[in-house]
Order: sequence, then C-alpha cells, then structure tokens
Amino acid sequence: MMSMSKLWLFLLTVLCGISALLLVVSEPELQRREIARQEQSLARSQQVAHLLLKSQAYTLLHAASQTAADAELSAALSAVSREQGELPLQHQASQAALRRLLVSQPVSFAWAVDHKGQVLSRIGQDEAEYRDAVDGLPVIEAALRGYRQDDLWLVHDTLYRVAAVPVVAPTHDHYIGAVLLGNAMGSEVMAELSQLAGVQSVFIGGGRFLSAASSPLLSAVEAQQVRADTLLGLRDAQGAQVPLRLGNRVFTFLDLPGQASAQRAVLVMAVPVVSPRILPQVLRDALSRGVPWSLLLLLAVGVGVLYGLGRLVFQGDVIQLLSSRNAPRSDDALDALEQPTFAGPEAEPEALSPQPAPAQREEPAPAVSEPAAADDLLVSSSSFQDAEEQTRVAGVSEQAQMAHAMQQPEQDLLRAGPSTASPLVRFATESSGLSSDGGMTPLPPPLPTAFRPENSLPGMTSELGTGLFPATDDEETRVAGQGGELGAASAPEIVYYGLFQEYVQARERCEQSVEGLSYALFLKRVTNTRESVLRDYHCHTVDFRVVIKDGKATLRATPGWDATR
Amino acid sequence: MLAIGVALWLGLPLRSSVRAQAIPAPPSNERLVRVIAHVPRRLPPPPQAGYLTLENGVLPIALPLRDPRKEAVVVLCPREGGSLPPIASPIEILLSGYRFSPALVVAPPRAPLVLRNQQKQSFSLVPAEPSGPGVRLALPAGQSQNLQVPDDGGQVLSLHAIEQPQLRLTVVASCGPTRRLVFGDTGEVGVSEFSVAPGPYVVRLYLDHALAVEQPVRVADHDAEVILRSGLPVEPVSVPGRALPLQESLRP
Repeated sequence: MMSMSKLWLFLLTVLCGISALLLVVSEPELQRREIARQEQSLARSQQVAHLLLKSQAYTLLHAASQTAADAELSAALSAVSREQGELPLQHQASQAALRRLLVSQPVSFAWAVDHKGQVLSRIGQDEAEYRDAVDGLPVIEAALRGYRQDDLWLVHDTLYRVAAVPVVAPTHDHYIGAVLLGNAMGSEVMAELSQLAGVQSVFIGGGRFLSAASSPLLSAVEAQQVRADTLLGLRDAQGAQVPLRLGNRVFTFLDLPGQASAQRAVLVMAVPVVSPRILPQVLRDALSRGVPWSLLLLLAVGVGVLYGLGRLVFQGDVIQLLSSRNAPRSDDALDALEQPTFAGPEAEPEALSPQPAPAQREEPAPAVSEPAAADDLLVSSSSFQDAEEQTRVAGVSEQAQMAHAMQQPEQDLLRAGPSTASPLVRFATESSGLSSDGGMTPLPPPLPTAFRPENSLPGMTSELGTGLFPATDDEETRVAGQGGELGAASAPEIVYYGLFQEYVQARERCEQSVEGLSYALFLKRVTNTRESVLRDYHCHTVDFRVVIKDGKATLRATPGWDATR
Repeated sequence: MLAIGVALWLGLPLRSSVRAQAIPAPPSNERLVRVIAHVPRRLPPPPQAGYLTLENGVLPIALPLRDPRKEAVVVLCPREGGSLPPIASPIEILLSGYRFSPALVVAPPRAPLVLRNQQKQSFSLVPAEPSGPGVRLALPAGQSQNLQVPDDGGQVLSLHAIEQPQLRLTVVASCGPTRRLVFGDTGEVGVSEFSVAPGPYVVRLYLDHALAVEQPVRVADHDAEVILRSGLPVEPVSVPGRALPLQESLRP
C-alpha cells in the first residue's frame, strides 16, 4: 500500500513535470503559430483593405456623378462656358448647388470647375476663392476629357480621397466642367477595416503617422517607440513589401495609389495582440468566445475522480500505517503469497498462498486462532465451502494428518464427531470436509501404494505414532507451530502425510501428473513454507489446504493467531 | 542630282528617316534648315491615379486642355561643338494651375532660371529621374527660386514636386539653336526653321519631358529639309530631293 501511494505521488509529480515541460516547450510553437496566424490574417486583410478602399472610391465617385448631374450646377457651368452672365453670380449659384447636394454626403470639400479648369466654386475649404486654375491636377484634367477618376492626396498630413467626374452640357454635346469631391480618410476606414478583417491599421505618409489616423495600432507602435520610417523601411531589393516583425506582432503594408504614393503613403496593418504572452491570450480569446461549460464539467469530474483515487490510496496507507504495529509488512506477505511452493514433474507452478493477513488480523480465522467450540470450527469450515473456488477443497489439517498417521480408520475418526473430539481432532474433522451440519463430504480414495509413507519414508509411521496427540490445548500450537513435544524430525512427516495424500489425489482428479512427486519433497516444501509463514506473519498456526483452482491442484497456507496468547 | 550627291556624301539615308531637299538658299553664308516633325495626335487614357478610372458613357473622350506637342522643342546641335551666346536675362518659369509653364525649358548651359510659385501651396522639387542631377529645391507658396541650367550641353534636369508628382519641370542644356515646333491646321505636323552654317549637326526633338527623336544631319551648301517622325517606325531609306507627300500638308 505504501508503494502504491508512492507510485501515485510519483505519477502525479511526473504528470506535473510533463505539464510544465509541455508549457515551456509549446510556448515557442504557440508563438510560431501565432505569427503564422497573424501573417495569414494580414494576407487576407490586405485584400480586404484593397477592396474596401476601392469600394469607398466607387462610393465617392458615385456621389460625384450624382452631384454633376444636378441641373442648377450644370446651368451655372454652362453659363460660364458660354461666357454668359456674371461670374460672381454663377459662383454663388454653383456654390449653393454644391451645398445643397452635399448636405447629406460625408465629404470634406467639393469643387465645381469650369471648362477651362478654373474653380468656379468651393465648399468645405477656401469657399471664398474661385477662378484659380486647377487643370494641372490629373483628376481634373481627366474629368475635363470625360473620365471619372479617383485619386488620393496627402495634404498637410491629411490623406484625402478625391473623385472627379465631368459635367456634361445640357445639350449633351460637350463638357462644360467637372465636379470634384474630397473626403478625409482616417478613423472610418480603420474602423471598417477592423470590423471586416479584425486588424488594426494606421496610415503613414511622408514618413510620419498621419494625424487624422489615430488608432490603437498607432498607440501601440508609438508605445514601442517605433518610427514610421522604420515601418516603411522593410522592403526587399525589388521594393516588394516585407512583413515587419516586432516582438510577437507582424506588420504588413498596403501601398496607397495616386499622388499620395509619391509621398510613400501606406496603410500599415497588424493583428491586435493585447498580451505579450501567447498562452494567456489564447485563454482570454477562448473565454471571450464563451465559457466551455461542458469542458469545465468534464474537467471537474476528472479532478474529482483523481481526488477520490488519491484519497483512497492515502486512506489505505493510513490504515496500513495504523495496523503495521501488529502486522507483518505487506511486502513480506506478498513475497510469501507469490512464492511458488510446489512444482510438479511438468514444472508447472502451483502456488502455496497464505490467506490475506489484514483481513484475518481484523477478524482472525476461528478455525485456527481461537480455541473455540467444535461448532465454531464447523461454521468456520463451512465458510470455506461457501467459496466458489473452494467447492472442491478437501481440507486437511495438521491434526487430521496426525490422526491419519496413527492409522485409525478414517470413518471412526469422523464418526467421533466434533463434539467429542479433542481440539486437534475437531480441527481435523473440520478440515477433513465435515459440513457445518455435521454432514460429511466424500473422502478421497485411498492413497496409492506408491505414495504411502512406508514407501517414501520407511519406518516413520510407527515411530511417529506415539505421543503425537497431547491432550492439552497446546497441541494445535505444537503441531502447527513450533513442534512442541513432537519430534523435530518425525512429527511433520506424519502430520503432512494426509495432506500429501489429498494433494496427490487432487492432482490425479485434475489429471495432473504425479510422476516424480515424492512425499519427501512434499514434506520439505511444506515445512519450509510453514516456517516461512510463521516467521513472516508471526502467527501461531499455519493451516494447509488443498485447493483446486482453475483446474489445477494447489496448496494454500492460512496463518492463524491465537488470541489467548 | 546635286542634292542626291550631297545626301550620298552624308551617308545618312541608310538607317534614318531624315530626308533633305534643296530649298532656296539664304543670301548669307548660313543655310536654311527646315525641320518637319510628324507628331501624331494621340489620345492616351489618363494614367491610373487612384483605384478607378471610368470612361464617361454620355460623350466621347475629348482632347486634353494642354497639348504637350505644343511644348515640343527642336534643338540643332553642331557635332563639332560650338558656343552659344549667353543669356543675360533669366528665363522665368511660372507655377500655376498645378503646372509649370513652360514645363520644358531648353536653354544654354548655366543660363539662369527663375521659378515663381503662384500657387497657395508650397512644393518640394526633387529629381524625377534617379540618374539626373541631384537637385532638391523648396518652392514656398507665392515665392520664387533661382535655378541654373546644367553645365553640359544635352544634360537634362528633371524635377517634380513631391506633393504633386504630375507637377514636373524639365530643363535641358542646349548645345545649339533651339526652336519650338509650329503646328499647322492638321495639328500633327510641326515645323521649325534654323539658319546655320554648313556642317554636321544633330537634330533633337524634345517632347513631353523626354528626348523623342535624335537624328544626325549634315548641312551642305544648299538648304535642307529634315523630317522627323515621332512615335512612328523609322523609314529605312530616305533620298534627299524626292517628292514628299508630307509637304502637302505644310502648304498654307
């Protein structure tokens, strides 16, 4: 039991060690997987960001087209192209039209440009200025030719998306101007990108973080004192983007087109990582998606089972410790139990196994430990018969073997009954197969002549017959124990001869070979086993019984304690 | 026959598109060289600026407001070198409407230039070509900056604004007389005339901030006519004095 508890503690320690080792070993792997996950996510985010920016450009272009189709605006530009009316009036008319059309549009500024490429009116910025030439701007030049085009401008650290569309004359025969809408890019782009792709982003232009693009990523990179030019410097020889890895974060870039590209305007993206440690982050993310109650319940059940097992092991250990004062060590008992005692000619192992000691110590076997009445002994004997594996046991005690050695008729010995027999005889009666109700189990057939003692040990019977049954209670002890007045050399041979007979008959019934099996060998092994059990268990008696188990005849030794001693 | 002999003596027609034809000689020692450049009108789509460039579905695409052919410059550089008279007054270049005017300047080496920014926005001019001179120039709003034409003849200084990449200025150090192309009614043929002394020359046509055509020519005792074709395959052989169908378009 002690070894079991130690084994349990050892396994627990090994388990904890393996868990700690797995944590340490798996951390780089988790980090690698985290980096790979970020790179994959960023690769997708680049496509998402490109599509998002393109979609927003289309939306702005559509708004500009709707504005350019307004009749009042077209009339004002047409008048300017035909050089009719006064320019300030047309300026006000077109400006009012722009203001009315774009009241619900999220634009930062809007221009109305005449056919010469001069601004007729503005809203949003420099509204009082007009007549200045802007035809050099590519989008204006393209719009005056009939193209609808968008562009990205970086002006004063602010990124603008602009879209310009042509304005067609009411006669639909020529272009009379263009309309340009501009919208500052910043928070709304990053918010949409975060919602669509789950990434943080920030705009960089001109080697600086753009002021209109405050984002969590900007705070993160500024906290790490990462400069914008550092983020922009990660390109290979061909100028292709190279993902930048800072710690456990991966940054990727999306080049912005248009005029802003000349100022190296890019969109920097990164997957948000709140904690520098991966495992806590994994757990936090897992919990953020819901508490796995089933898994927690399973974990609790597992912990409970392990706790119960541990309690059982420790409880048994405590019991073992409490009872270790009067009991032999379990290791010794195990050794005795596991010791093979008899081997037949075919060298088949046959266990000579004492009964488990702790149970007998708590409830000592009445057959041998207490000088009880014959009824008690019989009851005890019946308990053996109840056991399934002992249904074919022909118990033979040492005393019965003594009686048999005195060459008394077996029937007379059994007829004497438990009530009149001496303790030794009563024990012999019990062990010889009497049932609890005084019935008698069939006795084995007579021993073959070849196995009679006179053939094995000639002259032994007569000598051992005298003084073999003392009338005192110590007889049992003397027979099963240290020998007492029995002759040190002759008494065991006589006592165990009946047991030998039972054993041989049992082997014959089990169709086991008996060749080479001699009583001398049998007696030697039994004596050795008896001494070993007496020594190891500190018991007073040793009872041997022939047990047929699994179709094989074996001997079982049962230690007994005398409570009166 | 004389013209054919001059052309064979020049050895030019073998691999060039230059054609020379005898024209009435000027009274002095100088000869008249007429350069006829065939520059077709092109309507290229605008370069992609942002994410979308869509054609208008109502009307056909119109010509751009500014025709780059009207800023084309022809330079007749003598092969054996020569000195150009220095320019005393600086050449003024205006920046307005998000354009340089003129955007292409061909001037003698070390000629002074003045850039006047008439925009409300400041610009930073940096070299547009990596191989060009490393000139960086800040052009604040409403202010002027002095610049100088490169020293060597033929050297090109190309600048563009960081804020507006299309805002580009090209300065070419000329090595000889310079003329602008004058286009006729058809708008595809430009003519420039030079009065130069006989000798070997190189005709260069600068168009849209770049050297479009470069052709050697030898001016003999008679006046000559040089035909340049830009953007078209070069004719394998040209014989001086032969009737040219392109001349028909030059007639008033």
